[in-house]
Amino acid sequence: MNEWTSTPRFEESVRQSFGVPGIRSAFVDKVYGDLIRRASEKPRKNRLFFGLQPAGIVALAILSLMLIVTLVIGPQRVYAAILQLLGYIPGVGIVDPSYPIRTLAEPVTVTRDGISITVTSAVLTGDRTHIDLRVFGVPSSAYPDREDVMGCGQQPYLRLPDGIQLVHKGDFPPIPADVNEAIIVIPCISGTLPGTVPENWELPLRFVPAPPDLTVIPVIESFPSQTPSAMANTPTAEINPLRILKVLDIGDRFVLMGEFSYNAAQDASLPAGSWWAIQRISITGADGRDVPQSSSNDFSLPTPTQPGNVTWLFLLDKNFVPPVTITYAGKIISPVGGKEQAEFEFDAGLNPKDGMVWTVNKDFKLGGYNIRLVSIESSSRGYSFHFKADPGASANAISVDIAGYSPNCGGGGGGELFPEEFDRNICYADLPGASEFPHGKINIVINFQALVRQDKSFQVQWSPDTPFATSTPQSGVCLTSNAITQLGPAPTNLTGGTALMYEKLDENNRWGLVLYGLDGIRKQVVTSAGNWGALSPDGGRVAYSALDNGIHIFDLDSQIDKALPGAAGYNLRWSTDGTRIAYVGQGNNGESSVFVVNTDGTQPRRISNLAYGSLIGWSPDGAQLYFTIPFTGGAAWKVFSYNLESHEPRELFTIENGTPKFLNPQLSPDGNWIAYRGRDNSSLYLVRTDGTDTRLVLDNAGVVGIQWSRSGWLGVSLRKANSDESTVLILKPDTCEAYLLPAALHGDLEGLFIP
Amino acid sequence: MTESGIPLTSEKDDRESEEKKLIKAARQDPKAFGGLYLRYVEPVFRYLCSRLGNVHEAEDITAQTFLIAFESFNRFRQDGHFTSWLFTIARNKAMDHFRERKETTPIDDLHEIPLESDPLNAVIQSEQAAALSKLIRALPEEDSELLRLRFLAAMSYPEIAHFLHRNEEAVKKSVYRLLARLHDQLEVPNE
Repeated sequence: MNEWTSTPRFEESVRQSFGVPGIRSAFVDKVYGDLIRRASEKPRKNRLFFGLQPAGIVALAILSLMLIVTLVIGPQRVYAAILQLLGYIPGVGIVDPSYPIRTLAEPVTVTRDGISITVTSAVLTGDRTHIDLRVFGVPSSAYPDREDVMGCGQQPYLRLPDGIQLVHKGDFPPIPADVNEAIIVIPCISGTLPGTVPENWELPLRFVPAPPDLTVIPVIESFPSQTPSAMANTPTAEINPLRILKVLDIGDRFVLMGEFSYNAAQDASLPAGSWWAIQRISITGADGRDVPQSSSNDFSLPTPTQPGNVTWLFLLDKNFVPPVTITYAGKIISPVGGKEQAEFEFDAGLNPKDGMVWTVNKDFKLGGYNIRLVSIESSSRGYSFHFKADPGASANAISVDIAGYSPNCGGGGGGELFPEEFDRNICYADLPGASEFPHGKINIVINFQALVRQDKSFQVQWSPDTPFATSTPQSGVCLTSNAITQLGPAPTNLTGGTALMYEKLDENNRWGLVLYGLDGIRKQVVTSAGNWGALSPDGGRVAYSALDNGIHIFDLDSQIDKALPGAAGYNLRWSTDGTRIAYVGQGNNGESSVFVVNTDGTQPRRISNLAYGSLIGWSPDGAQLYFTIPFTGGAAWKVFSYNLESHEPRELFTIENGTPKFLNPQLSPDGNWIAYRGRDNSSLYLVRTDGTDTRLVLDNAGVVGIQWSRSGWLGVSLRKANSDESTVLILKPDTCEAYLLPAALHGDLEGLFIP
Repeated sequence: MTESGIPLTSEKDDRESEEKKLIKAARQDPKAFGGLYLRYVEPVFRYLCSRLGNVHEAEDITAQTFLIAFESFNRFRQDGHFTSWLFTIARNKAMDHFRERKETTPIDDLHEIPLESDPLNAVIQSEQAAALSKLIRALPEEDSELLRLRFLAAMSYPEIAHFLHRNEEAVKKSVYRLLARLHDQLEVPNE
């Protein structure tokens, strides 16, 4: 090989050349002691629900509710359902509604040097102060232009009238009930460099009793009986290790919390040394359909009942046929038969050097498999053994020892399922108590342990104690997640189109852009070295961001890949006539901004100096470019249009219900609608480009990829919960006509062409 | 899917599996956060020491980093990357520290601050090591940060990519090219 390959020894030299000394054990011990002391003082998280409530009120509430529940569901089930009086405020979490809740009297805005900070809302409860604030107008030049330079990280705090400061830690601590004013102090705008924008902001806040229309959803907390549990492949007499600990009914959803406690090593029915490997988690209703789930940061995992148990939490939409079955599917892997060994002598020489390779080609028969040790390589840390073997051999446990030497920084193990070529490494780094580095004539021992695998699943079922009303889809919703599985395939007049997918290409975890025919049969890998793909409006070219961030155009007919010199960035959008591409790139000082480049590579030019832009698309006539700028510190996005002739940006409206993570806004080909992902990271919304007529199109469907075709079809890729699998569908938002695309299309949708 | 629990796993799998166990344990019992601390305290210290150039300050910021991580651990979500999260706190604290002493010490000059007890001299035992050290000191900050994350913070490529919001392959290539360049400049024989 001509290319230089880094060696562990050289990398160790690099590490040491930083000249960093070892850490002092006295320091480690001191901080450890401090942490443990603090941990001893820290209450466990799940006590929050109880801790919130004044004892008298709680007792009264429980007694009242037990009486109601006894009447509703019968006394025989009351033992299993102890209820508490709780409330849920979306975006805030579980609160104690018996404590007087206060809110912000009115939004407060302070503007300095063109930058505005607005406190839009606040919720004050007995255990926290939740404040939403937005920052807008920060120029991109205020942010670091290099990744290794961090901007401001100082947290804001609340200053009470008596001077007490409440420091922000996720939320602020509670404000005493008799204090109705505070000042929020923001030492600097998060992420900005010192001296670039105004600092030391102070916004006076005033709090009032919560208005009657504040959404506080009554929560019923219950502790279900474990009687209906079931465990697949296991005698019913055994205790089910998959347990539901608690259920919260929060109106339109159930929050199921539970734990999993199986340990194959302690399963007496299995051979010693067995273990269980989880492969899939599914939640299905009685009709066999997947139960729609939501995501939320408003809830914390429950605390396990025993150390070592794993806890879990699922939010289920009230849109299923009970009972639901939660399944943990996996495999039991057990050693079978005795351990086999092969040993041979090998001469590494008196002074084995880093990077030396010995060709061995020695054959062994272990466990009925032909196994060849191809070569041995030494490094500064130990030895690496390269094997080739019959298919399936490496699905067993194969390890390497050097007789008389104990590895002390990682043994010679392995466990691949399929590779017919594999490596085993033994390490003898210079750790305290390390063996002498093996050298000279050494005895190499190859260990083989056959393994068997059997499927094993664990299941638990759960039904609500009382019937529930199915969530009513909002008016205008085209499809609920349940309805999606019932969609038919696209008619043949549409299958001539193409879809660009960003997908996992192979088991080596390489991802790339792949073009599919909508029939699912035609397939063409565009690139394995790029992402942020964009299909030209005529479907003939793919623009993408290469690994070096450079923008390339791949012509699907000629197969010619062309880099656009001087254009580097992501978030690509073709103009309707296919002559220009807009993208988010970096200016001369490294700040991110919106750029436009001609598709022949000429005239890359910057059109916005606001930071962190995200492109929406071009108007049909190519005169306007739409993009969004997020409020920092909030989940709202300002929508702008930019006139490419007059060079005038115009603020249009604000998307208030978009996801703060990946909005993925896309402009319809007629220029009238913007499609985007909702606040739940899962739903699809449309809004007109003048900000009116917001519509929910897909409710909690796992929406990730969104693409319009020039013919008005809207393509969406949906990521399944707890899975890397995805589903792709196309729909007409005005009529809700929708079709599923073939399962061959997977990954994220990045382009759609339907003539 | 990785078969977690396999007795003879690779070092990387062991590390990920152990980290997950520690995170789960810390969620159950705040005291178990001590396990995460013991696992990461040295990489965090080494990283900060390299950035700050001062052992005492590095210890101070290391302690602050873990106390903040401990106090805000309930905000760390299972789907997050713990290493990236932890080092983000460390980096933020380091920047706060820079900002506080900005009045007297320009950031760009920090690398010229002599290390207390000059541990560098204890390490440099050959002309080659000294030359390598000099080359690393002369690197642009973004390049030395990559090496710092890889070799002092002992972060994996996916962790670095997540931490820097960059593509994993691009990070790998950058580190590789950086090492190759250093190697070429050193003209190391037989490497």
